[in-house]
Amino acid sequence: MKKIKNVEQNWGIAILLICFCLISCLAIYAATHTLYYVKMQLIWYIIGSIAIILLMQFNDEKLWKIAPYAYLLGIFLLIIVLFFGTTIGGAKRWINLGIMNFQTSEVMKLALIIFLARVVTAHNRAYLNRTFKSDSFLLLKIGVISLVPIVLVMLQPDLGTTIVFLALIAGITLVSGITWKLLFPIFASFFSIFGGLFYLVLAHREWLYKIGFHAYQFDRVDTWLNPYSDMSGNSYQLTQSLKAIGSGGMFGKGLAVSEVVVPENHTDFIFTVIGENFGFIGGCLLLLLYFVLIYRFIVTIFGTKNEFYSYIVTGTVMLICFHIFENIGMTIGILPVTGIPLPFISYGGSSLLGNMIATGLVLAMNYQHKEYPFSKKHQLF
Amino acid sequence: MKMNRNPHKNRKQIGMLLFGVCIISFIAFMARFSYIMLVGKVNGEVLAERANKQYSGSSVLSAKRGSIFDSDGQPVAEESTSYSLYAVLDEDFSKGSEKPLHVKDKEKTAEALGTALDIPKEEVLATLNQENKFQVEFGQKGANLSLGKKLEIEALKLPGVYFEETPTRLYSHGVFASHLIGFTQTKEESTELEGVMGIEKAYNDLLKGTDGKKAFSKDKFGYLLPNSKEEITEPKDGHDIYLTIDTRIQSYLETLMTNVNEEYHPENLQAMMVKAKTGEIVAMSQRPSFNSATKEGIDDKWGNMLVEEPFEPGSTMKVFTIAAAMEAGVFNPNATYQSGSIQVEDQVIRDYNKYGWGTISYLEGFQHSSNVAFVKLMQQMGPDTWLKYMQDFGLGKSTNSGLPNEQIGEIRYDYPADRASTAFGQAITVTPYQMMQGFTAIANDGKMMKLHYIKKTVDPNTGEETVTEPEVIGQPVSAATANQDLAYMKTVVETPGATATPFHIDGESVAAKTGTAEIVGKDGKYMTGEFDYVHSVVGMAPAENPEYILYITMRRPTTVPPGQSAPGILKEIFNPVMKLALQYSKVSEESGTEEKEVTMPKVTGGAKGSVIQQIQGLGLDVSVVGDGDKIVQQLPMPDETVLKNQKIVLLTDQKMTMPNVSGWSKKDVLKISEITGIQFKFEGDGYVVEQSLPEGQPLTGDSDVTIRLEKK
Repeated sequence: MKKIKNVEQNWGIAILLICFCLISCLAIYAATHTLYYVKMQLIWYIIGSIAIILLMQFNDEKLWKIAPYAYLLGIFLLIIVLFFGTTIGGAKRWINLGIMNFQTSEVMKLALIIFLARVVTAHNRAYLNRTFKSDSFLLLKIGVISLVPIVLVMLQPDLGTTIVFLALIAGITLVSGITWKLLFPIFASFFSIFGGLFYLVLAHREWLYKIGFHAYQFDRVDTWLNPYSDMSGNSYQLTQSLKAIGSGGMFGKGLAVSEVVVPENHTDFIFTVIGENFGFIGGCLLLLLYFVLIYRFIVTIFGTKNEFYSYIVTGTVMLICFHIFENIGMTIGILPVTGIPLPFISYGGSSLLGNMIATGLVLAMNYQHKEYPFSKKHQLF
Repeated sequence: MKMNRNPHKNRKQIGMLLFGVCIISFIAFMARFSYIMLVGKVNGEVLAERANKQYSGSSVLSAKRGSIFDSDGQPVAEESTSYSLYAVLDEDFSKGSEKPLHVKDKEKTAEALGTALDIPKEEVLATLNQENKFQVEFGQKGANLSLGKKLEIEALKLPGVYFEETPTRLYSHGVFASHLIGFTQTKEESTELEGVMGIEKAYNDLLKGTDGKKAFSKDKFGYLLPNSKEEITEPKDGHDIYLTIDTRIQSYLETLMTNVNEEYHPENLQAMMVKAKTGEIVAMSQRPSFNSATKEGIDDKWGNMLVEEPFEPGSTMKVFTIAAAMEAGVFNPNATYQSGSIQVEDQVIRDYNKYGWGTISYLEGFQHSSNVAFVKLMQQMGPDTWLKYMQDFGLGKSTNSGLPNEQIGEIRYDYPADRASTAFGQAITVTPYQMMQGFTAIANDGKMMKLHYIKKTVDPNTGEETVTEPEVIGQPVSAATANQDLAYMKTVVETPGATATPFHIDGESVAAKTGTAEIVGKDGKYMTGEFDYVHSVVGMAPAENPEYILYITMRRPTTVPPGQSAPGILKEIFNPVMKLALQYSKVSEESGTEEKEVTMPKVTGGAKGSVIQQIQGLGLDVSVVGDGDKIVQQLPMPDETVLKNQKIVLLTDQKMTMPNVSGWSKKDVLKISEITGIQFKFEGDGYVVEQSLPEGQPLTGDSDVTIRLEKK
């Protein structure tokens, strides 16, 4: 029973990936009107698929072992990007590999998931009798492990990725079994600080200037709340984005009709192309596909008894979910604009590869689960 | 402290929670998404419209809005581009650039901009010193800059100073029949100009033309796709409108109106001059008015009072009453009556001086503007006959001026006292435009002319002209009656003690009639203050065969020095304008063609770019000697009269350079000698065909420059 179900799970996810690949190619063509980007994206899909197949050979034991190295590699890459990175648009996020600009934070996202999963699992094994003290200790570990990459990413600077990190850390922390008595105050204070800052931005900006903030830092908030306040400058991208989506109507204008110019519409703003070309129906279909993907992931969490895996999948779900929500959210004006690509659809090698590998982790889990359903080793973790 | 929790169960709960959050988020996204797509609005903005505009922004071939010209063919309103200045303050803007792209030296920038824009340096500096601003603008003075000004500022090479381009309508004359011509505004979210007042509004459809369209597919960089088909619909430019407005008379009228307005502060002041034979409006003005170029004063009055604001005209109405009485056969100039007052039903109607002039003739009654005489005349012809004449003169009816918001006024005719009052212009409201139309019948052998302000419209796409022909729209009275009326009106000017004597112009024969209309106050009663009247005058000249009709009204002047009479004030406008118009009319009769001449403005001290624009705006040909940016000398001198085909020569500071003089007359070339002190050698006669020193070369005293002329 279980075996068949897991294999089915994998095939389901594989079909979803093929759908995403098709949509991605169509959308990139519609955005750029050239086959070059489509070709490149296909190559990355193939590389990603190979990565998935390789990853599926990894069982949990291997993952467990490589986790610290992956984390250290991630940190290393984040450090060297600060020194040797290519500056694009005022931010140092990429390392020029000759054939492509590689966004190192993509590695860190995955490494952080795996490493946190290992740390939490190991902790829970060591402290079978949870106490407030042990939970605090775990929280401290998570905090320290997370803080390093967050600080490094903020130095680039890359607000979007920082938030992605926060999202996946929050996800893993939530499922780690730490008592609510600890989590609740932390989350509550986090939200109240955030809410308070937001209030200050809206109502008493002058106070923030006094403590060293700059006006341009609030542009994003302004643009988000009122995209039509400044048509030429900051909100241009957003208003164009809304225009593109809004003008698509029910069924869209058809493939590759670009009447509205949206900057970066083959990468971060690719959802506008879907909206304009394939309309409401097309956009909803994509949302539905994402929904099915997330559902598959979450079912995996339900199904596994392997704690290590469940944390990894939780991190992956948070990662992909957050990307989807933030990206579509920003293109339809619900969330502020950050440089976060739409998973599987946006043009861009490193993000696609990252998402493929994340998916690969889930696939591997299903795959490996089949072979070692009740392995002794599992009990160790 | 031990906690009993099953990690698996815990995970399941969290999983459910995550799942729940996902579902809720998805629903929220779908909702927002559907809202954008299906309702098509964000923050109340219609997106599909925006998308179309965006599309049209790149693919619509905009039609040029037609220009408006005066009767001489000089532009009054034309399409142009203006520039607004802004300065980038944010240092980040210069990141990655070798040169600074933001304002670096605020002190220096403030100094230079202050001079260029005529703003105090401290003010500029204060603007530039604002904290946390990415960019700043400089208000009115930094906006609507001409190309010349832009070039001038660009030449200063100030880092961080930029210009934004906006299509605008150039109104070169400032305060100039502003409410008649109106103005345009940029339509929201587009660059299309839309007339919002006056002729610009009324003829918006004609002026704006039809945009063309270019359908094509583009790639994301905005390049045309190689294989895409282009479908081009050519734009049809808007028609040009040639007004009947004579700039010389209009400008003069505006100046006099401003003087009177500033001296006596009336509530309002209106004037209109028409060619009697054709109904062409040669000048039309009002106070309050506004400056079309700067929009200064636009809030004081939004509307052309001469068609939009009916008022009780008062005694100028008697011009019509006397004609009607003559036509009805009840007017005997020598018959006498008792002046002073007359009882009409329950009301006593008095002459304006309350006591009258004893027993006088009806003609004397006209000359003294006796209300009693006209009540009697009206009673003799009967109210029905009088009503018919008023209607024949176009009162209470639309003139179909074609101008926005035209009002027709009202004839109150329910009570005997009201009916009697209409005979001397009370209890009836009219617009100056209606009165003027009626006056044309008196001035033009009884034939009432349709007033018009458009001489012709020209379709620039085909060259086709639509000329407005003079149109007779009625004959309320016979030619004999009309001419007799004029003769009587002339006596009102010429007879000592009559009301219109201030309007006598030496050497001209003027027929005129004044009016002093009472004003209904807020309480519904007529006001009683010394100057609570609408003072008016209508004059036609020459009285024997009028060329021009001038009608001026002035409501409630507030600062009148003792001893100054209302006609004495109106005279300050009436006499000079009428005199000028008659002079022009004589000149053009003599020469056959109208000379095109303008008065040379003072331009020394100005910046090169803006001066060139200013002079070209006057329709003059200009040539600059020197490569500096400031004009230091000019020829002709200020206030000289310049013919339009003459050259204007300007000298700038810095090095003198030789202009291109090919095609110039010898006289014009000599202006360069005069202004630079450098003599040329001339060969031959006629116009320049060759110059030994090429254009742009330095002009020095020791170089020998030969100019060869040939007859055309």
